[in-house]
Amino acid sequence: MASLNLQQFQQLMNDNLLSSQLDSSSDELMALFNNKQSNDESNEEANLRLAIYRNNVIHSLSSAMGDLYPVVKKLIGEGCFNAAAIEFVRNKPPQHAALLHYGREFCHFIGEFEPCKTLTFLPDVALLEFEYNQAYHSGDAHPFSPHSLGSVPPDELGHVTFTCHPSLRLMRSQWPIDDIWHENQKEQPSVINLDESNGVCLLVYRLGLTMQLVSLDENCFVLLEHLTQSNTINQSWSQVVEAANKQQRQLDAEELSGMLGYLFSLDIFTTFEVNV
Amino acid sequence: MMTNFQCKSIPALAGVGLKPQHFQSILAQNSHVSWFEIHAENYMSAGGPFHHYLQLIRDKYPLSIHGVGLSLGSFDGLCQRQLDELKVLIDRYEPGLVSEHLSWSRHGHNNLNDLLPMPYTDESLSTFVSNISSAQDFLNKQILIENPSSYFELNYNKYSEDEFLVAVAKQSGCQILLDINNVYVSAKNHGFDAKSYIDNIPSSLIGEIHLAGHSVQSLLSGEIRIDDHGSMVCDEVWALYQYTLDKVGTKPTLIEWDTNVPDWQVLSSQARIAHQHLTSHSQEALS
Repeated sequence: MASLNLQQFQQLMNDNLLSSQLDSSSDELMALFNNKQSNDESNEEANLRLAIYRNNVIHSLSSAMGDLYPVVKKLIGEGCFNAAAIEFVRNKPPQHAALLHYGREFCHFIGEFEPCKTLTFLPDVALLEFEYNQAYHSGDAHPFSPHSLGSVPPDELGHVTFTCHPSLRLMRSQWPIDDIWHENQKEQPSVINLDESNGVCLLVYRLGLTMQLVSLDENCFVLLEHLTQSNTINQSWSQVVEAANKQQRQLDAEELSGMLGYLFSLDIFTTFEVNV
Repeated sequence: MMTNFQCKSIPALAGVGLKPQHFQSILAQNSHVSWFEIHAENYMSAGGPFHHYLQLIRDKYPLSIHGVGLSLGSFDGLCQRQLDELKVLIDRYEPGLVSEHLSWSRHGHNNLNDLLPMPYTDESLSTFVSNISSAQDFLNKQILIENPSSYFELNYNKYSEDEFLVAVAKQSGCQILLDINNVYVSAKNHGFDAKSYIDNIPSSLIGEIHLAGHSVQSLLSGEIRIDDHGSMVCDEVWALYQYTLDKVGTKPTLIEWDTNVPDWQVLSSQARIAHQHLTSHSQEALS
């Protein structure tokens, strides 16, 4: 009776569980099954027994994709989504047993998936869903109280840097992905006219147990982008000024305190440091 | 945050698999559920609501951590990242029991997210013993290994599953998590006697029992049972559970329900049935 060593057996199983079709290697695998019947049904039965595992693997992983990307699923329909998810899972199986961080590459994949290629906003919607889920499971931290900045001498305020909440994610899209996301949480989404919509600058983060999705104007977003990279308030502000000039956006020097006040009100910063 | 972990060890009473949709109900009321079990991989994250509620539940109840992704049967050893993350979870929640499976799920870097069957050969035996020993050394903790349900057997098995499971436990020093539903499902699927399988597992090796529902599908002219954890425990499995208790005495018993998860009332009523089996068995033993 033929037998395989463990490495050969697991290689054969891996290949057969992930392949879209059965081939000669499947026959090699199924020849190892202990068939109780010696009639014509034994091949068919081996096929069905192997199919249970093939289905478990592909179904559990593609269902995990459906749980991670419910809005994408709603937008393209269950049939199309399942086809995409199955193809993705076969090509990019998880590289870690914990599925909490699995599936980021699906955002790119769905943009290249032939039936969805014309839906150019789809990768950004998918990325928003992925980041939303990452933020949901990210570390905990308490926001700092802006009053504590009162201890900083006024001439040193410009040298303050901040640490952000571990859940904070920044996203920019040329599509109104926040509206698309919100509408598709509803049973009956309203139509969004993409031709009349502008791009968005978004923050995704968790405040306590509650998820937040906030849209910022471009100047304030640039300020936060630089603050999240451990730049001081002064350094970040000069980047805002430079970007605004380059893109001919209106900006008033007095807007800084308003922008900072607004960012503080979002409770996204957890600590600060004075760098003098 | 310092936590007062009370009642750390798992009692020989009924527990249930913890599901996020039941967090609030569990915290709001008392029930016949004496402890909880989590799937380790669902909590391999830094924080957020899952950990918030798990911490609150852990403050009130003993906890068991049940891994599904360590892949103790992989020919090329264990994944260090997986072990590290499991260790973090164990250090954080101080579980009374830590368990895994007599199966494999990882090949190279691919994680196949299923509990796949092993050939029961000498090579597989030494692989399990080596991997379980490494895991126990790293975690500094004895673990329990659960018998799987399976849909095919290999024709070059040297051992029956019960022989293999006992040999793995004796040689690695781990304990056994006896899943009665899996014994029943595999016995039906492969035509062996479920009771003699249970008879062959020494009581001293059994640290925990699992119960769950399964489904029945047609397979050509016959049928096959699928361990989908998506329904109530069936009468035959309850009977086999009682048979097991009569043989091995009371053990911590978990109700698993992972797909089509029902309301808390339905799940906790399953735990109540297990609780009644356990407490009436204890009373009979005393009388």
